[in-house]
Order: sequence, then C-alpha cells, then structure tokens
Amino acid sequence: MKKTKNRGQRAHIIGIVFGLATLIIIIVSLFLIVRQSIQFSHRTHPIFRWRFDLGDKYSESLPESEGERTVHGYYRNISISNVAGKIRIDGWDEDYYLIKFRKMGPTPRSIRELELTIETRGENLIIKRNAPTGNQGIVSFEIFIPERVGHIKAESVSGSIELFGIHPGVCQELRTVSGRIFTDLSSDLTVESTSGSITFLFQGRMLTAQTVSGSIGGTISNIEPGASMELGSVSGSIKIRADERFSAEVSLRSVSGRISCDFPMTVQREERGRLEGKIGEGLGSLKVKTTSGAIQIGKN
Amino acid sequence: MEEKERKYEMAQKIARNKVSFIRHFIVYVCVLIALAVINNIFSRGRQWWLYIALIWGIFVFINFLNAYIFKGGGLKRLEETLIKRELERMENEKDEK
Repeated sequence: MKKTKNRGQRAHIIGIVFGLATLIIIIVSLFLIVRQSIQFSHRTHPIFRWRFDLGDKYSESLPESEGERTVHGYYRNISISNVAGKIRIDGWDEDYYLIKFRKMGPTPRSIRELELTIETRGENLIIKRNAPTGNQGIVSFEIFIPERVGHIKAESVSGSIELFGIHPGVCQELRTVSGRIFTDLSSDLTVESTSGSITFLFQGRMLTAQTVSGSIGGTISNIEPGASMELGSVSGSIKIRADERFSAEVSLRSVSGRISCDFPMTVQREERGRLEGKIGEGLGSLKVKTTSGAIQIGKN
Repeated sequence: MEEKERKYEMAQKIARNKVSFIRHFIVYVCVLIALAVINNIFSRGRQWWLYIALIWGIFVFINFLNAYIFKGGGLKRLEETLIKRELERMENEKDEK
C-alpha cells in the first residue's frame, strides 16, 4: 500500500516537473523566435543598421554585405587573411589604400556574423576576416594599393589570390589551399598552394613556389646575381620560361616526369630523373623538384 | 454504490489524463530533439523547429493543466456552480412574486 502511494507521489511530481518544463520550453522558444526575427530584420530594416555606422575609426567591424573603405597614411606592409573567397590586389597611382569587399553566405545570419577587421599598426595594414567557427560565409576582396608598399602577404584557405599591376620591387608572400595564385610581377616571392595552380612573373632575388597537386607556370626576368629560386610540386607540372640572358646553376629533379630544357647547358650530372648543370655564367641558382609532374625550362 | 462508481470513474479519468500527459511530453521532447538536429545538419540558418516547439508546446501545456490543475473537471465544476446560481436566482424571483 505504502509502495503504491510512493509511486503515485513520484508520478505526480514527475508530471508537475514535466509541466513546468513544457512552460519553460514555450517561453524559451518564444524568446528565440523573437530574437531570430529581429536578427533577420537587420538586413531589411534600416533602423537596425544605425549602430554599425562607426565613422572613420579603424579596427572596426563592417557588417555590410558589400562596401568599401579607404585608408590613408603610409603602410609598408600589407597583410590580408581570408578563409573563403577571392583576394584580388591591384597596384594604382593614388597614394591611399582602397579596400572593396563583398560578403556572401547561405543565410543572412552567416553574412551578418562575418566581420571584416581593418587594423593599422605602425607600418602594417592588416585586413582580416573574423567569424564564429562553422560560419559558411565568403568574403571577396579587391584591394588597391599605392606604389610605396614594400611587402604584401595574402593568405586564404579556399579562394584564389590574384595580383595585377603591382609596382616593381614589392615582395610578395601568397598562400592558399585550394585556389589559384597569380601575380603579374613580383620582387622576392613566396607562393604556396595545395591544389591550385601558380602563375607568376618573377624579378627579384628569392623565389619559392610550392604546390602539391597544382601546376606551376612562371616567367623569370632580369634575375639578380645570387638569386635563389626553388620550385617544388608533388604531382603538378612545372614550366618555367626565361629570357635569353638567363644565367643560373640548375638542378632539375623529377621522379617519374619528363625533364626538358631549351637553354644550352653545361651538364654536370645527368641521370634518370635528374639534370644538373649551368646555364650561362650561373649567376643564380634554380632548383626544381617534382615527384610525378614534368619539368620544362623554356625560352621567352 | 452509484457514488462509489462515479468516484472510481473520476479517479480513472484523472489517472488516464496524467499518464496521457507524461506520454505526450516524452514524445514532444524526443521529436523536438530530432527536429533540432535535422534543422542544424541541413541548414544552419533559420531555426524553424522553434515554431513547432512553441505551437505544440501550448497543446502539451493545456494537456498538463487538464491533468494536474483542473483534473479533468475544471469546466464541469464551473458549469455546475453556474447552474446552482441560476437556480437560486430563479427561486428568489419566485419568492418575491
């Protein structure tokens, strides 16, 4: 009898607890629905946008889906960090920096959560994409930079990096995982890609280009004495073109790919998958290594 | 005997309502969890399962009120009270005449 009474009491308490839990679920659902509706209104109702108007202060967040910012001052080093989306950098004759951006995402929320940060620290101009983990938004950049820039660093996970009309003498450091990399002129250059292709025009002292499955296609022009060039790929082909005056100690290695060189060369070592020698006076050093891709050194 | 039977029926109804509510609540919570997971796997945007939680939740809560607060006789008792009051009013009117 006592057992039955206890069971009944327990069932009664469980029922009351469940009832209260239902009430809590209703209240929380209602709150979240209201909050969600307000968040979705941000893009459509201008009244919700006022708080984002921060004027010309730097280190701010820019939640617009499309916009541009201008930055005045002298910044020798530019750093752009992106996760998904294209980065395009153009050189221009103006003396300020113009940053155009476009945010895209599967939902308005993903776009709103996507924040762009523009920081200026000493001689550094840092442009970053910030978003919570799991955000699927994409930001595309188009950045215009003046002549006096000395170093450009651009990094992306999934997106191409393209540089056009950059003034001579600008060092570049470009990294992406799945996009292509293109630069139409660079001084010292470091390029790394996992699956995208790499295309460049090099005019400097240090060149490093690495890719896993993408191809490398580059033009080497007016190399300086002592210039060091290292190119590597796992399965992609490597094609280098140089002008008649090209002069370097050359080491070309491919495990299973074809090796060809159009320049007359003083051969120091030639065996299956390896060709070493000197082109011209051997002013610079060119090392090319690939596992299964072909290597081709051609004339312009 | 009739009174005893009536009481038994009443107790049976209350117990059934209580069990029905507990079962309803468990189904409600399980389905909501499943919907929330589906919503967040396939699209991480608008949380549509919240609308279902709200609307269905209201019905579950009505079920709870019926089983535990009014105990299945809330409206019936009110009806009885109103009938009594009407009868009293009619009696008073008759006496005055």
